[in-house]
Amino acid sequence: MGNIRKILLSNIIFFITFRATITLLGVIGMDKIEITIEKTLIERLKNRERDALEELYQLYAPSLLAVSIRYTTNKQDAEDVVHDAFIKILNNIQHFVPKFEGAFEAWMKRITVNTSINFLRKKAKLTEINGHIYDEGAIPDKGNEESSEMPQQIEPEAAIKMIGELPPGYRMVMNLYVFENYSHKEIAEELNISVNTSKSQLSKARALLRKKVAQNYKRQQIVE
Amino acid sequence: MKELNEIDQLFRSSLADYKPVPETKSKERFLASATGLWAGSSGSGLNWKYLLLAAVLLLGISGTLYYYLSPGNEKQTNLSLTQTTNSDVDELPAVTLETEGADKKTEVNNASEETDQQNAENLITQPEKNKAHSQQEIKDQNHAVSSANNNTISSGIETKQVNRASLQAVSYAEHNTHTTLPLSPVFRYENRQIPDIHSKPGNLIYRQIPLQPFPVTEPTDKDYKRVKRSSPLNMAYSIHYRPEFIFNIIDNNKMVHNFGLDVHFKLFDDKYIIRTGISSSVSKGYYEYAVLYNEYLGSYEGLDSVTFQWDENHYHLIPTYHTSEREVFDTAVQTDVTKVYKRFTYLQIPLMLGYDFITHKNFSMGIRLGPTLSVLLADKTLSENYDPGKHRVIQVNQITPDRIETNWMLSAGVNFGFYSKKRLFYEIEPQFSYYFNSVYQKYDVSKPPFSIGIRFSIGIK
Repeated sequence: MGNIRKILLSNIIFFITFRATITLLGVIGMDKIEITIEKTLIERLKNRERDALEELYQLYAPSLLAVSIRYTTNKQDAEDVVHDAFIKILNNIQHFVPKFEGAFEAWMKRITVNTSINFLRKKAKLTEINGHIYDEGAIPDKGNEESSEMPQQIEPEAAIKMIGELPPGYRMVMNLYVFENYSHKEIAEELNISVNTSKSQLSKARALLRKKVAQNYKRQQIVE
Repeated sequence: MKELNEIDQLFRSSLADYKPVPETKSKERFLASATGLWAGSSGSGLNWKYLLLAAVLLLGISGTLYYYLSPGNEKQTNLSLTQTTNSDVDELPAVTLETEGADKKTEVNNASEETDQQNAENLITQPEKNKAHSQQEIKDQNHAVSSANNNTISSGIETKQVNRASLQAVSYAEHNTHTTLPLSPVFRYENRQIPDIHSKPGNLIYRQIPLQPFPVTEPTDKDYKRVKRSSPLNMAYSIHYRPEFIFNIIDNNKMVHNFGLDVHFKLFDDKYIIRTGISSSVSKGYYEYAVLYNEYLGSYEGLDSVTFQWDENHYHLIPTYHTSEREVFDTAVQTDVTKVYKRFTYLQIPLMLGYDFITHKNFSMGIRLGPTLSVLLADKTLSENYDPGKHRVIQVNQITPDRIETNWMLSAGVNFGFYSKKRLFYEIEPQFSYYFNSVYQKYDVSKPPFSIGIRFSIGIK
């Protein structure tokens, strides 16, 4: 009987101490320690505050534009994609719960990537990605790749231009693999192609880019 | 682990910090779309819940009123009157009678009821019947009442009907005294007996109530005018105020105030109503503008020209510098969103058609449905204009589009009318309105709006 009383008493004391700690943390605001600017922005967007829209655009439009411009061939299209992506983001913001720091931006980038892919699907009929619409002869030999001289860094605008000059299928695989860290399996599922096709497209994209980079580098050296 | 070769690394590192600046127009476009999106879907689920709740409430109220006020349920109303009469005469001596079979009562009561209704209808609709016929009717009525009383006393049942008959007879007599028939003061119910409803069944107690003779007055000119004015003209005038909550608009302020004058035409026994008139609708709200500007960085004294003059000795040239203040602006274009508070005044012309399901002396209930034409009369900026300070304004783009100048809407409502003894009447009408097109000039910004409101009016008939 005495033991039961002790157990009950200790449980009651533990419960009271726990509640008091939580309440105290709540009073001094320590329970909200994890709330970041990102979370605040999300909450404001959920509350439909007009100022939050501007903040959202100013904070994230450049990085989303950087994503979309890699898929589209020109800036105007990229801005259209970003606009559509933002609308999708606003439509789904009520259901979004950030689980880690940076999740919001990652989520938005994912939406932008999907919007870009849909944009390209409509524009370039990507159902033909498995077909033979690409000029195989344009792909350089492996031997040429090894012997090409490569710069340490290239200008972002030049890099965007080179990626933009890739055929849509190559561009998509290249972007998803290199920049979005998709695996070949994920790319295959996303684009509805086989894994081997994805690998093949990436290889060809790399070869084309290598050729372009080398040409560009040589041109620069001549100018200098 | 993924394999990234040299070319992958090169492009990845080259674009790692690449963040192109979006065009200013894209930002404005996004802000306009997002604002329209939020306006178009602002709590739409909640609104429908409210609308559903309002519809259920309206149905409930209408059903209840219909049940209690429909002609088949008049007995209950009259019962309460009988009970009041009985409770008022508790101090009177009682007579105890025993109940008999229920066979007679139905016939007597039905006969009495039919006679009452017939007489009442005849007299209300044709108040100026010839005197002889009316007097005969009164005699019949008295006879019917007396026989009903006698039968009820002998049978001891359905006292409600007897009292109802007597009440209708009273009403009938009063009506006639005011219109055509100078009744003699012989109209007296002495020794009339009313059962005590508190007594046990099968052992009813009847009490004697001495009734006073009805006052008889000659009809005056005023009475004739009243009769002439109220019945055949079937027109009424009213003023109304209707607060309205409008949805699917970009403005934050959803409240719209409407007030105006109405003319009511009542047709076919006052059952059908045509209501038209003129009203004014005033709505206020914030309108957003995107201002593109170059930021003011400062100013300096810029050299315009230099002139030289010889000194007195003609040895040195003395320069004179002519300067002016030059302002310096940043070349980057920045955007500022400003709000302007505006008021829009519309002229509205409604054409509402209605039907009253319930038309009583003091109350009516019906539906109203019809289109309303809105024409923009004036828009006025109430707030101060945007002050750019020293910044150089390049362009001002309107995010919230302007209001449309002509608009049509369809309104439907449930009308509750309350009529006083004089010529005044009051109406309450919850309304739902659907706009056929957007209230904005750019239709793609928001969906066609809808509104809920309630119309209060006071009028004369």
